[in-house]
Amino acid sequence: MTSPKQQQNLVVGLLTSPWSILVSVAIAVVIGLLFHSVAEVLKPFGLMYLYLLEMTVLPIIVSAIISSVAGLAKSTGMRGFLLRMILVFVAMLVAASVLGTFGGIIGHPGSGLDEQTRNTLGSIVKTQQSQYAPDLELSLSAPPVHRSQPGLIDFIVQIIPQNIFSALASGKALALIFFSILFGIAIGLLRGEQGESLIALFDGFFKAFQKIIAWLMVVLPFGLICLLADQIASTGFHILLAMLKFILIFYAVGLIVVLIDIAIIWQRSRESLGTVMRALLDPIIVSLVTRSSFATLPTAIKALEQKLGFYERSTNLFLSLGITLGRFGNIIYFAVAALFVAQLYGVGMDPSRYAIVVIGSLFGGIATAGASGIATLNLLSIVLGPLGLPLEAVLIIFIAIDAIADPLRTLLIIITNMAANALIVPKTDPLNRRQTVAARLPGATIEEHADLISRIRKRGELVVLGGARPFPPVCAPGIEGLHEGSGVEQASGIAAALGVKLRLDLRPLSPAELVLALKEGGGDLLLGESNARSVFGEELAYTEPYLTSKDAILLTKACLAEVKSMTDGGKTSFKTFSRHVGVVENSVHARIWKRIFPAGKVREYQTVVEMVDSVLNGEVQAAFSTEVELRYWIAKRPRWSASASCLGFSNLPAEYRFAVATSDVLSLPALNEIIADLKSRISPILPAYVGEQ
Amino acid sequence: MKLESVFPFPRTHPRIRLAVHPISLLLAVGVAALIGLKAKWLFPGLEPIGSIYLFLLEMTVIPILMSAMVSGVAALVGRAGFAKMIARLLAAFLVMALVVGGAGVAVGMLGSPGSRLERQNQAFLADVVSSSQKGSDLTVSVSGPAVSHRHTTLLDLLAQAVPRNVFSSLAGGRVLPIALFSLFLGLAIGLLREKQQGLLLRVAEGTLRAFSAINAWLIYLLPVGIICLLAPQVGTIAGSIVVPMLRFVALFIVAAAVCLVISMLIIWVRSARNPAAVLRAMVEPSLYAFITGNSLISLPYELGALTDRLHFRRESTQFVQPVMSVAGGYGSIVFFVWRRFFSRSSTVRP
Repeated sequence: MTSPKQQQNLVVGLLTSPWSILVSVAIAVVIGLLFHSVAEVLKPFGLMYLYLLEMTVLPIIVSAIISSVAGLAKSTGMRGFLLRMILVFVAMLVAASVLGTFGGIIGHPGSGLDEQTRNTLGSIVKTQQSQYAPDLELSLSAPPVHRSQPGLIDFIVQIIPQNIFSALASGKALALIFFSILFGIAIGLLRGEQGESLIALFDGFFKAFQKIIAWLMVVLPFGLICLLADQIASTGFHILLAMLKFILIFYAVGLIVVLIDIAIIWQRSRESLGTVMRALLDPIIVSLVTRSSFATLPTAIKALEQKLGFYERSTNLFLSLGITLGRFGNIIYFAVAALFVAQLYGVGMDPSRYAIVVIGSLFGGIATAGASGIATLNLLSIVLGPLGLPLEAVLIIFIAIDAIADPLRTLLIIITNMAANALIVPKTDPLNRRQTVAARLPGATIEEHADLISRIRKRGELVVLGGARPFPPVCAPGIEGLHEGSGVEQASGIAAALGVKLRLDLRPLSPAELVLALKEGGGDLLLGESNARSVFGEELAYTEPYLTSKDAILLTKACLAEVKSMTDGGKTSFKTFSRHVGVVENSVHARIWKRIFPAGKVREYQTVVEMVDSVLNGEVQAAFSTEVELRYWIAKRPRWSASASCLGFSNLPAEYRFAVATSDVLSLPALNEIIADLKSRISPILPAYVGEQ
Repeated sequence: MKLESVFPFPRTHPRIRLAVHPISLLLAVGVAALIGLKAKWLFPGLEPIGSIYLFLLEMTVIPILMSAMVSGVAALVGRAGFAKMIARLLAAFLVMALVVGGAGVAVGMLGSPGSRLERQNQAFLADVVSSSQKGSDLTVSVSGPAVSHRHTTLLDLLAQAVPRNVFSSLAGGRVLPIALFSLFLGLAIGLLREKQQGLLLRVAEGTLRAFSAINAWLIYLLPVGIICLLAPQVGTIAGSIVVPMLRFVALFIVAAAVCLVISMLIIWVRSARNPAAVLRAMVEPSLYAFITGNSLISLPYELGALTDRLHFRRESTQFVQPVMSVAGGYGSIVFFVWRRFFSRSSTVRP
């Protein structure tokens, strides 16, 4: 029998597998070609799905850039990374533009068309004209109208958001990116807690929206069917035939670029080609179907970070920036399209005009940042304008075939940015990282840091670092000055499994100092606040969570509701409780809560049983202990079990982990194995673990 | 909570000192005047750069206004003397409005700017006056659409100040609702007794300091900003209005100078610093107000001058100064009084 949890995981795994995505594409094709009415019905659902994806785009861009730029601004190696990023990025932009222009020169998409094709294009424009733009005239032989174009300086003026909130409201991606970079640097240079809080805040937003994306990915197959069926149903085939040459050339150039990109990613990731292709399948399909590079961003980040192992923080930053500014697909498309229009009108081209195509499509492509669909096509005027070619006349043709061109444009944006990312961002290679960390430590060699486990065994002692502040239920002073708590118990379990002694090294240090102490080899594991990633950040590596006997407050159900409305998570103050509270004599909790509550408000009991009884009798309002202990005793007494419906727990929802220095990241699997073993051995004997009466 | 300096960077950096050195600023003003009068062909090149500088400054206005008020109010609320301070704020506001209005009326009565004008000048000025009406809204709305004052009573203004949807107020850049919202948010955060209070305060303070940092970087470019923003202004003014309105402008400058001197005296007395220090502190905010024509843009520099240089209490300044900038358009009061005066005297004597 599988548990509901396992069944749920199975369903999620099935829905997010590449195969179900392929199957849903096939279903969409069938519906789109054969059942037009069904496609019509599905359309709104497809749009809803797309809007949900789009909803997360701006928050993700802003929060990802702010938190990653701030993180980079804090770290010292930022300058080298930025320089490399700019160089690679600009080189790839120019390469894309040149490739597109070459494709247009070699392929001649707009010249040598037969009379019938020209007639078809003319008639398409006439019929489409009444639908889309009644005031436009197309004449393929009329002299092109010259139009004045916005210059580079106006382009820059537009990048600066006069009002951030109005930029947010109108979705001006370029302006928001500019702002986010500036704000991120400013936050990164702030000293102290305020900067940390802001980084944590934006990081939190980023993670939360990634979570939403993760949910949306589960229903992706259904979204795909709804989106794709309508697109297939609405594309006419006669326009496709007339523009066949243009489309083929664009696709040929595009496929060459995709192959180059895949080769780059394959080379840089040092994984097998099969692994790379499996990792790329998700972003490829999502980009082709959603036709939105932003909606594909989270999938692309996941593929690079989790499946191919590129460094997390830099990938977040680069891909968010890259997908907004590096509109490679649009650049290539603009170059091919500009040459198509020029050839269609029979305009003579010379090297300086080709240069205009290269530069124009580059800036035109960048200017499409944040635009999608037909809005993108409007920016074709940035290329056509300097060439003296009219956009209005040919816009209709491009709109008509956009359903076919847009998916490839989006794919090119995604995959070329992933390739650029692969060139810029290093892999999170534990061996490489270990070498760099070891190189920075004075006197430390790689051999010494090679294996945490053998180092501990050699020393015959497991040194666990921690703060001096009492931190129940993980670690707090117990009887005769010895420390007790779940963290201490698990640490001694690990020491026993390794066959060494445990030494607790608790120092009155700040979190940052503790991190430094651990990094400099002052200890093997970090205890206590190591669950607080927001404090230690990515500077350390973490084990799996260990078994924690959580702090719990026992209350009657009615009281629980009342208290919950007054408190948040773990924070409890004496104001929360109007009457007395109970603790067990000489317990960790007695010491802690007697310090927090005013004198005379805490009642001490000799046993847990007495304490729980008094809660039920209404003598005290609440009882403090660990959840394991309370639950164990409630299960023991029939009277309590029967009245369990009127008992409630208020818990700390935290998961506690040990932290190790990133140089010891290779030892984590071994540590996790020990922790998993401890957990599996403790769980069945929990009653014994908390002690019989 | 201990509040640190508004500007997170030391102002003693040699490059900053060079950029805001009185000589380089004076030089920039001179260059701007020269270009404005003699080299108008440079305007198309200068104006976009001026816009970029202006937009960069404007970008920081709303976040700074919000975060300064929130953290200032939150730090003040619950402290003894908060109510007294509000009372003083209201009193000071009224007194200053009266002083400023009075100065305008007095100088207007003595100088009669609208009388003894030639007929053709009167017709020309009638146009200019009616077309410049929206100028008085500049302090109320940074980038949002200008609201006409024609039929707005004080109550209407108050009703409009209540933000029905704070996000739309933020997007529209409507400063009054944003200020009111920040006031309430600051009060609420200040009275919060949960652990989130600390987080919210750190976020507000951090935001203020991050945006102040951006403003501190922009000081490097102040001379460039002066040239690009001031030159076209000089050019426009020199081209049209000044000659027929010379008398008006001269008298307005007299009235404004009277108000400035009174304000400087008050600041000098209250700050208990030497007059030179007071003058030095006022240079930056005055210049920003001057070149941008927007009192809110100079807000961060006002905060910096009052707290870092003149050592007024940081949290109180953070509360009072934005309120005064939003509500107390003193320059507009003088201008308003003036316009009334001017149009009356010019219609009475045909």
